[in-house]
Amino acid sequence: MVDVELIIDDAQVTAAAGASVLDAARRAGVDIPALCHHEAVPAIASCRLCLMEVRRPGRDWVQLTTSCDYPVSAGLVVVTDSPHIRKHRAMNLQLLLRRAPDAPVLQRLAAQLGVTEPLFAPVTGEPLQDCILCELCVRVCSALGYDALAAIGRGDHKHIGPPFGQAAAMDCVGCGSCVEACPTDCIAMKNTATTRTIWGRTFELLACERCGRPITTEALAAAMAADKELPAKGRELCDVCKRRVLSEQLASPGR
Amino acid sequence: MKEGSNVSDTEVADARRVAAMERCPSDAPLDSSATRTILERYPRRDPGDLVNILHDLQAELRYLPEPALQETASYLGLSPTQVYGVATFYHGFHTEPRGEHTCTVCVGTACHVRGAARLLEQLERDTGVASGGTAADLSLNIEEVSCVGACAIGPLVIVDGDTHGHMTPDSLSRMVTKLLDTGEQE
Amino acid sequence: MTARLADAGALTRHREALAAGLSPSRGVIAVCVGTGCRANGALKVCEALRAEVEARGAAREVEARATGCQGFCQGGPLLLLVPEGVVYQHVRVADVPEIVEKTLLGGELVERLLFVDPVTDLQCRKEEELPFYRPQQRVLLGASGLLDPTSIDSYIALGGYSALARALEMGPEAVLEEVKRSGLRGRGGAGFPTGRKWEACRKAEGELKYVVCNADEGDPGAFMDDALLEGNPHSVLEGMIIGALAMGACEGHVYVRQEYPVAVERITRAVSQARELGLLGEAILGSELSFDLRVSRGGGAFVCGEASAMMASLEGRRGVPRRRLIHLSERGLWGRPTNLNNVETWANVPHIVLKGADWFASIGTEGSSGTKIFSLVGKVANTGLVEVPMGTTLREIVFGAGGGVPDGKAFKAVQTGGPSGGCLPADKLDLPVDFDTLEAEGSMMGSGGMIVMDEDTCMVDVAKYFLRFLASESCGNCTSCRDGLALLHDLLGDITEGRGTRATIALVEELADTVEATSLCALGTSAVNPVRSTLRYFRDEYLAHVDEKRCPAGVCKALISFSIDAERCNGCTLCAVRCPQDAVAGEKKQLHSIDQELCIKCGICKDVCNRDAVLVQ
Repeated sequence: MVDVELIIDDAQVTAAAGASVLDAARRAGVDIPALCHHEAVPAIASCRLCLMEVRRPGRDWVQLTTSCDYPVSAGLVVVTDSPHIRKHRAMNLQLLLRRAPDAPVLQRLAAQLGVTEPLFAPVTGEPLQDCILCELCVRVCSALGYDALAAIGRGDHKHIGPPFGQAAAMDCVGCGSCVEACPTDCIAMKNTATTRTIWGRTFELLACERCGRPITTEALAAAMAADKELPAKGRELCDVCKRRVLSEQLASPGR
Repeated sequence: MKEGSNVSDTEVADARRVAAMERCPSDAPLDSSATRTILERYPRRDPGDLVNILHDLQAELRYLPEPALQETASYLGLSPTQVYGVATFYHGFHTEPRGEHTCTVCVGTACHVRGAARLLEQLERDTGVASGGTAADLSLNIEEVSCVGACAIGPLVIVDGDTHGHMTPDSLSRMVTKLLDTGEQE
Repeated sequence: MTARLADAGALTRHREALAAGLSPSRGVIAVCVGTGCRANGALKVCEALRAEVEARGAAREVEARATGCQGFCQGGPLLLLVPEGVVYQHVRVADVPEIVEKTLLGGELVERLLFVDPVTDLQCRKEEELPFYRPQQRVLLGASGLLDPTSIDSYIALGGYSALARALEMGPEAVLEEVKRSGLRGRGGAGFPTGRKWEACRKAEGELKYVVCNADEGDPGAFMDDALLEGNPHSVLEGMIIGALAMGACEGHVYVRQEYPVAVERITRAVSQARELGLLGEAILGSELSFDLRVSRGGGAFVCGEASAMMASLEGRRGVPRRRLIHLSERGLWGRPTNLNNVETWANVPHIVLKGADWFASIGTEGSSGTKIFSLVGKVANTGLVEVPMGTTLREIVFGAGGGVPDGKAFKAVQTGGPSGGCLPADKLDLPVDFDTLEAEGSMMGSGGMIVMDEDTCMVDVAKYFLRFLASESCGNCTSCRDGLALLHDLLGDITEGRGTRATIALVEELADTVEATSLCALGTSAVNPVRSTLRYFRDEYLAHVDEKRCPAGVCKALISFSIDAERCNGCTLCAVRCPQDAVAGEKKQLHSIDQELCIKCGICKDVCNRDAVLVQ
């Protein structure tokens, strides 16, 4: 695939064909805020923060639009910051603040945009507090092959959870990827020395054979074992012990 | 399910269906042969037929209970999440048990301009059921629809498939009382 | 049962055989059983007519035929007598014996069933005499009044599928040229030039291509597509088969909203009838064209009228639209070239093929050729479906065909374009209706819904109504649309319930800007049109609500009160009896009064009062 040349904020940028303007901008050191974006999953452009102004070659009009789902192409002229962009980004931020008033990532953005007062009262009664409906958890879980979380309903009654309103997510393996992906940290996960509780289920944690520390859930280990794409060996040790064993092997005589 | 697993897809699907049936309310239709018959009308097992299948299932079962949806998922090779996500997206589908009678108020623009909102309010007042809901005793569902194409006789209410035009809150109130008392309209 | 038609010659012979089988003197009573008339008891009238004709031994001379929508819904149940052309309105079962005796057998009119022109006070006998039909040119709907929509033979006998035969003779490129030259633009609302869209699909790479018919018709108050599918389903099918020829498509889908069960049934039956005769399937009429299609139902989502959301639904997914930097004509359904058109667009195609692009272009205006069907509803005397040449003015439609506003009320606004459109006031009535003119004024023609509003309609309430609808139909993907529309609805609720201030209006305008500028699909971006257009033309109503806490139209409950006019009340106690809150006090034959604390403003007292004694202020 041939690289593509475009202009971002008056600077020439070379990007891989097929990349989004958001990815190209970030790699070039220009940060565009985007809360519902993750490189490993398809973009849905839900948060509406990653706005840019873009002009296509040969056209004289500029379009205000999202950058996470806009593929780069030769000759694009992109602006990532302007009063127009800030005005609409700030309003969408206000809408998100209504759902997650205290989320640190939103507070930081608010400071950057000069948003000091919320325009709208916080929502109440949502099934998952602080969820901004970005569906990153849903997409990540689906990409990993478990598809344990569903986007349920639509419009402003949409919410995220296990299908059928189950108290426990039957297809979940407790890997915790959704927690890592969530921008507002609204998914509850509780770890003890031997268990993990998430999405209404309690999983046994697999302990490292060498040091006894928890590695991951037994359910995830079993799923990975069932997947013949992944190597069978090496899952009984935590990462620290794996490195120790390897360095011992390298240091031992006869090598 | 990944290859090399010692649990087959069918076993997983069966386990899900059994678990689903255990979770279902006691009056839910548990007989999966009706579901099976309907699914087999779509031998291509094309995920594109999902919405059509859900319509057929709901027509038969009156709503979409979890076991039927689990079975549909495994039949089409989709995850339960995907099927449930679709079933809950569209307002035509119901995943909770439904009432015997359905009273639908048209709230299309033409009917709205002729006073449909007042009809809906009267209905909610008379039955204690909110729009979109079902009475606790499963006697009645209250629904809204945005235009059925009979605007000349609006505002209108459809009761169990029969359309009644030029309704007023008063005439509606009397009709609903009669319906719940006797099971008849007019 | 007829055998498969092997070629165009076989089709012609079949048509001739059908004509020969009919008695030339046989009259037809076309009974409209379109949705509106059916809801009004038309099926019973039709059955009664059949029974009466049978009982009189007149079945050879007269056929009572159930047809699709004849357009004049206000006059339903409606009868059209063929070949006399006489229209009877408001027909009841009790009228049937007289109709059969007097008119069908005796050749005389039953005068009380004739429409009376309120301006001239003259009886209108024939269709063309009715003011409702006068401005119309019923290219698409005309046949609905005559066809039996459940019979493919009825369609063929009237000339159906001869356009397909002609198209097969012409070949795909010639057909495409004809559609391009005709100037046909998408009737679903966007108005994209159909020929160009077809050409893009034809040129797209790929063996497997699809054509789709958008019969989701989600605009509340619009039922043109329903009438076409119910009344003349084969005309839509024929258009799609011709399109498949022109574009090289092998498979098609008709996506019908689930709220139209009769339309689903009719088109499904039409498809299987067409298949039986070999008009769908392999080697259609002996040509190289192989094409078949499936009927799918929507699940109940207005957003699925958006092309990419419809395709998601057809793929068994949630109806979430996607950005289309690559056109659907290149990558649509299942990632393959797909051409999606509205029902009315497809229905125009056979006419263009048969009568030519020049004929089509001669109707309407330079930029908008052909006719357009409008569903004229709301506070209008003659509710129904009106098909007029593009460029006909709003006034000609609303006051000409529509007969103006009933009950002596003043016209206030006409809303066009559905939830994506706007409201236009009286001084815009002389604007021609076409794809481009209304947009400059803050509205749009849209798919054809035309809702008339009078002095009793509160324009703030109308804006709130559309926002409620759109907020509940939002797919929920975009923060701006999902939460923005819900909040706009809340803010309008503040205004209609007396909590609004000037600042509320300012916030509405600011939030609307972002919803429009940053939403992904047209549901979001055009959702602000109703509130913007009402703020533009009816700002004084908004100001009355926020500055004076007053609803000039007397609609917003929190801002009105009900009282009893001492001059008119005769103490009949009806209101007191029917009041659900027991809020009306008064002795028999004495002036009654309403307790403002208990009154919930349901309006029942006003409904039941025979003396017009309930005042709303």
